[in-house]
Amino acid sequence: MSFPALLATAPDIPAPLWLITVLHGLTFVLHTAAMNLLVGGAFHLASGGGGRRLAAALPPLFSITVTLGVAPLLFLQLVHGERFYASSIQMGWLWIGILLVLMLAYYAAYACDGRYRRDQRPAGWLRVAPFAGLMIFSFVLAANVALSEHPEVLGGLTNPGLNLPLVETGVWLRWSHEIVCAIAFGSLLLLILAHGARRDDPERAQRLTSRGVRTAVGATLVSVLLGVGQLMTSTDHVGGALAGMGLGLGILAGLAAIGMMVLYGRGPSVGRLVGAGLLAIVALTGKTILRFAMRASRLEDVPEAPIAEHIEVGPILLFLVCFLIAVGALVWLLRLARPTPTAEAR
Amino acid sequence: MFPNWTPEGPGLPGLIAIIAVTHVFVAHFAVGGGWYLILTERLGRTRGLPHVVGHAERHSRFFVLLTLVFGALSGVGIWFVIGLAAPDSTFLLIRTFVWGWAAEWCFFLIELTAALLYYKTWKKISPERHMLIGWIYAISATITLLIINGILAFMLTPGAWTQTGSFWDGLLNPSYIPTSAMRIAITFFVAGCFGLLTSGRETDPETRRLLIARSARWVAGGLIAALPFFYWTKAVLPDGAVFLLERSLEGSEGAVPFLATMWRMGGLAFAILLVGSVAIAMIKPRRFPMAGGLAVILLAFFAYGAAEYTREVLRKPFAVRDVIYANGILVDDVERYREEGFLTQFEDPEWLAGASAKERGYAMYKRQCSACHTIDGYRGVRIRVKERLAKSGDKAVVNMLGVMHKAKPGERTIWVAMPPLVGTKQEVKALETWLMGLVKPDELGRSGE
Repeated sequence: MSFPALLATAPDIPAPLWLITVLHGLTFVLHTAAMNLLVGGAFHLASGGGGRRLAAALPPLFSITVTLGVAPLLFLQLVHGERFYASSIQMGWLWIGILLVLMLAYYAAYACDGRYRRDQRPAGWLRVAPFAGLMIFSFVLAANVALSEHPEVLGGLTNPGLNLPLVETGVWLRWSHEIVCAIAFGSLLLLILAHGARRDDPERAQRLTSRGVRTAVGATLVSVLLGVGQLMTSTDHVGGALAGMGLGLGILAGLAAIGMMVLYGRGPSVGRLVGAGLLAIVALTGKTILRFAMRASRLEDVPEAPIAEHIEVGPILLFLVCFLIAVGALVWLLRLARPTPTAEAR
Repeated sequence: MFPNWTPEGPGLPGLIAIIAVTHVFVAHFAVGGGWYLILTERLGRTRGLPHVVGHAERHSRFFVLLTLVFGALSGVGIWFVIGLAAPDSTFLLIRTFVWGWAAEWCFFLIELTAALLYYKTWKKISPERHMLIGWIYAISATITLLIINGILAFMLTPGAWTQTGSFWDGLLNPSYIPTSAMRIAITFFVAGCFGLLTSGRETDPETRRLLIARSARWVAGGLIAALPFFYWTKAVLPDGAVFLLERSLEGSEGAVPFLATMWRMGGLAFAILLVGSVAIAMIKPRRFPMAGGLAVILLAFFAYGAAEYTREVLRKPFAVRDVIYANGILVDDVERYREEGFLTQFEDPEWLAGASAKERGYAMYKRQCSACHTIDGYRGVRIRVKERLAKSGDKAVVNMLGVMHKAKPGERTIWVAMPPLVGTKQEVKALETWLMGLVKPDELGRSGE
């Protein structure tokens, strides 16, 4: 297959490209935030920390991460479908297979929760299974996206189905950086759980907090090294000023988030916890800007079907109205779910 | 056009069928099951039946485990697999309906949050608030169905969209209303089937009797409510789809015999479920064994699978009727490919210059046939070539390819489920060479006997 010959023409996109890009970025940040909590949580479950409360948090986090991932996947296909489908096809069996892996990881998380509910400690392999599944899933996903951003590698592949070029796309560094970052930010989940446990079990809350802060600091150091390595190996596609802004924002906000987590460890308060969470989201936004800028830079010279816009306002309004309804409904639902006095709850 | 992946065994169409049918069955449960839960909880609370409320609570755990895990991930699986099997069509659909899917995603967020909270807040919040969460779940889940069905119906009946290109013409297409209503009715049917599965496990005899009969009424009611909308849907089917169905039911040459089989077997399965559920609702048995519940689910799954298969085949030879064929070739490009050549558009010129006829034929197969066929697995072409040669003699393949090459599906009376064969005469000849090469000479000899 010769890559430039993929599509001579492609259907128009039904919205301004800038709007799609902004929505793609925003939904990707939301998805990444949930994913970080999930990966961080699964890491701590696998390594024996967190216990019952953590196990109970993982299944909903799986659901939230998957559902929040639908929108960025949609926008990715809309703009980069041409290359994304091509790279998915190249690794077809793996691409389908990882869903099964993710499903098993998901059920393993439910099984862990169930064991704890029955006052049993889940077996070691069961505690490791969600994290292992997430590692496999994220690796293949990262490999797919990385391949889609390397059309020169994509174009040279034959016999689709089991192709998984790793070295040429630099996916090892990219994936390991993402995962270690996720463990760093995801350790915030332990702080959130610790905060909830402060009144009932202050000793346990302290243990969770210490563990969360230690992991966050350690993982941040490793992720900085991996991130530098990733940048150094892609010096020809660093993405210009926008990428620089994303990088700076990511590093500064990321370090500030970790700093806030350390401060929380010294003196827990809601403000510090919320601050750490918000700073982590800003850091993820910086990472997303960097990622988008680097992708744009990498694909600058790739000849592909031009993206023409055929804008129809009605459907965009439909989405915006639905989005507002969703935000309102979510707030309403969370208010409805606030615990009521025992006498009322039957 | 994208690279081709041509796995054997189930092939890509088989993979799509496996993932899509199981997903859509569970997705219908996710909608109907929401109504089942909230209406069961309401029944229990308004009539002061704590065991019935308890059933709703237990059913909600089963519901969450099935719909939020399997349902959600198999939904992503459909995205994955259609992107592999039919990337051109998927790309077209994404770029046409991205805002529809984005709007659906908003209701997914509500649905997911409501499902988790409904499951997690039993006995923790007041019944009124808990039920309100249940209502929000049921309504948002139904809205997701109403949106996604617009896109599914569009593929069968794109209607005015082919002229206007308008999102609304595409979404609110001719078969939108009847298929949406039919699907909603079917969600109640599916919910009733799963209700039968879990009701039989209740320990209180009177509660069990009540819930078994009630679930059976959901099964029967869903099917009866779906019936008029089924006939309405049939009435708005495009001529080509009706023609394909009629030819297949008649057993005509070049139709789809398996469509007739699935149509009849699916109809029979639905009929058995209807009669059986009416009987259960009237008899109101005190027991309904687990095996019986599982049998109902399996039969419902089969019937549902047959219905989905029928819908998919009736769309053939198109992925989106009158717009893009199942193999990703745009209707508007057919004549151009016939004049300018097909492989030259996509393959490396250097490779093409040195490729043998068999190699070019295989490339034609991969790009034009493998979306629906494998070589030796699902809808295998080797066995079909052998059968055709055995039945109609040595010229059978060349004759068939000739017919497919010269006419559009609408102008043909046979093989109407197949897209037109495009390319130059040499390219068609290369495909013939490759196809004939699938059968060994001695088999050819026998086949000619």
